[in-house]
Amino acid sequence: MCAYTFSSDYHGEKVETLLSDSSKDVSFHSEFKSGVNVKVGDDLLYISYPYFQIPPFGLMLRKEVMDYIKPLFKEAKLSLHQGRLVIGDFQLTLEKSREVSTYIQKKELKTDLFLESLEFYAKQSPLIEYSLNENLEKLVMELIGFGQGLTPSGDDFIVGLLALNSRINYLPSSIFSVIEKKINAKQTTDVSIAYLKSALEGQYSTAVVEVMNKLDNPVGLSKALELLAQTGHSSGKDTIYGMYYGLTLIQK
Amino acid sequence: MLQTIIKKNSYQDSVVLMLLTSKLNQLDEVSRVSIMMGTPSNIDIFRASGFDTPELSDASSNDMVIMLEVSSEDDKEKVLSIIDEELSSTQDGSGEVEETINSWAKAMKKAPDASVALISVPGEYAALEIEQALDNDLHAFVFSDNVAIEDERRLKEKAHDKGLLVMGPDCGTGVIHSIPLAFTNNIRKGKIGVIGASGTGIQEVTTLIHRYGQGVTNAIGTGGRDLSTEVGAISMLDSIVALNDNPDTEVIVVISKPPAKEVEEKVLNVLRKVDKPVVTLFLGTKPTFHEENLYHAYTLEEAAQLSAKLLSKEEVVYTPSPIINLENKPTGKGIKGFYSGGTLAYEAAFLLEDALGIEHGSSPEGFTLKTDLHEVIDLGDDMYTKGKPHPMIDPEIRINKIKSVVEDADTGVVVFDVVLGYGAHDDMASALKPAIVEAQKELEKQNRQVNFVSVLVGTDEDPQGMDEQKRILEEIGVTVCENNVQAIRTALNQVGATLELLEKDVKPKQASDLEQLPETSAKLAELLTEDPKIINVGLQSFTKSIIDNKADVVQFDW
Repeated sequence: MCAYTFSSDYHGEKVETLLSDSSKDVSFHSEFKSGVNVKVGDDLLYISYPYFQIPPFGLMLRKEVMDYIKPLFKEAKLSLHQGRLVIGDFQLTLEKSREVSTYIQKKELKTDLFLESLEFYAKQSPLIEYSLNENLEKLVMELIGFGQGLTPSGDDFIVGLLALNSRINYLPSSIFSVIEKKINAKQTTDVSIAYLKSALEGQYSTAVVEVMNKLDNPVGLSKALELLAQTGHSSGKDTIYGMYYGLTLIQK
Repeated sequence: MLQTIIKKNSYQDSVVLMLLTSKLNQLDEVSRVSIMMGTPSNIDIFRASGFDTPELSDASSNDMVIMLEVSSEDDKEKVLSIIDEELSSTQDGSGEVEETINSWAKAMKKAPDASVALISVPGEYAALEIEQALDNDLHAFVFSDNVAIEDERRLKEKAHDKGLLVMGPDCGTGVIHSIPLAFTNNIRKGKIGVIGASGTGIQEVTTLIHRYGQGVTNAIGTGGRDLSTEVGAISMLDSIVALNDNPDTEVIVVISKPPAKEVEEKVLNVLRKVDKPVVTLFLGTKPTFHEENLYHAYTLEEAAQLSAKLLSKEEVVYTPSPIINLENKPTGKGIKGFYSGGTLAYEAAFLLEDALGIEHGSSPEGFTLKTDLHEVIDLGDDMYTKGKPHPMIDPEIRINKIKSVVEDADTGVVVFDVVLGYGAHDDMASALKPAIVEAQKELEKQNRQVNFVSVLVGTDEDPQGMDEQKRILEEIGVTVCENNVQAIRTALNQVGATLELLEKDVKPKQASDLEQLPETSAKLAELLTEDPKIINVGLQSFTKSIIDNKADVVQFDW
């Protein structure tokens, strides 16, 4: 029997499914100041206390709860039980948790007003120094796992390309199999793989979803972009660069 | 010589990697350094840039690879120990945060020109953090509650002596030089200054001022206990004087629950010495006259309206928003107020008491008002939240209340608030909608008519989209009111009662026995005239309103 049960406050749209299959192996993956990554089968589950954005595979708790259970992840036995994450004597449920929208809906784009606002942040991406391969498949192949950071800049860029595609189709389907191959061959970090896999399913961090939802609303867009741009050291800007690059492809 | 250091399965925040790179670059012993995750693409980069060692082949995508060029074996050891030290001291970062700031020293180094600490740590630790903020010459905006009243007094005295201001504890709302803090709406900049000991009171007044076309540059929250005998209105008095001296303020509004008599006298004594027109609102007291240039309001709507009229030089007369006529008469006679905003509940209660002749203060615990027929509940009260999120964020408690109407044949009108702005639920209208629709269906089966009346607190600049919230509610037959007074008067009208609002004469201003007002400290003057630079101690989400409004904020990872 589990002695203590905690509910998360918010979770991304993939979490319920992630927790549903009790036969999956669960293990500790990595630890950061504000949270931990747990490996569930082949996927990651990110558990943290609130920050600006929640990934589709992310689950947010209050800091007090996080501080309390965080040390347990490394030591305790982890498993799934009836949609709950069991951490030794503790259970983490979604009972009082609210699902946040991490899915980008397909919707027509009305104007191209926004290109300039994106350009501002795109230019701050470290990738701007590189000349990008004009062949899209080659570009994607080169960029996966490329660059600085826990999620290398190239991966963040590709997430941006895909996010725009989730809003409005423009990428040739051949791209997706290239990405899948690279993922299967583990050519980038586990954390990047989790984001890329989600992106292929149309799922993104809330900050990315927000930008895509506001893409033809110049007022809301600037605020959404500012938030995304603040993510990580350059991750947000790399993602915006990917979106920007995608928009220029559409305009061509 | 080239050195390859591979840290197996090492997940470090990108920022940590950048900092480490730049730190190593500064060392004399190191002539070149590059740190990246060991993905195939990155290993190609290493090789292409001349960092090619046999060890490199051992790296995998989840390893951190540090490539160094050092001059000797001795240097290598030294550099290695520096790396270990750096990585163990910065065992943090989620890949999402900037440099981790976890001490006041670091925070002040990062933001040497900070002016305000926004404190939302648990109450038991708040006093210590307020003290630290004051020691660092910062004003304190304290969202935390459960601070001992002795601490509140001591810290406010300390702040006063240093020319600083403590807003709170339990200060949920504030606008500092147009930057909304905590649970606050986006309000147009303008010449009305607001000081309030109540959160939703400030929200209702400032949003109404915004809708009247005027604006508020500073809305200072003092916390609910500032006007208690123990604290003696220290923050309120300093704020009044500061707004009087502030060149961009032309009208001052003061909102509070009725204070202890001696504190009220103290506050009025200062207000009567102020040069600028002032509107006071001591919630629940029904004033019978105004004083010259010192107007006494009865409702939040009146306070907002009079201040706007004073500014636009219109005749200073309160015209309440009209009662809305509803087609279907309710089958019950009872009014139920289910509020998320404490001050709105309080106002609803005293207006109902006034109109229905109910004795004030006779309600049992947990009810702002309770009679056989009517009730008003502040669902943000600890008694209802019991550790759950506040009803402005979490609709659950209200959903249950709305559903419960079906069981009570006496209910005729349900009044509830929808508060927009930072910190509030993204889409409260949609969250409450299913419960209302369900209740309506059930009521129809019972051949009953209950009217749902709501008050929407917000502006067209709030992130939730005010028009859309209104549309969602109206679509399901909810009557959406401009303000709380209109909602209550509309509800009263449904059950055949009326609220009498007095016309007030203007009497000469009573004399103040102050010879002159104290001076405003330079720090306080600065607070009201410059964009605040904020150190956010606690809830990270509070940085959103600051960043949205393009002010500077440093997150203190408490």
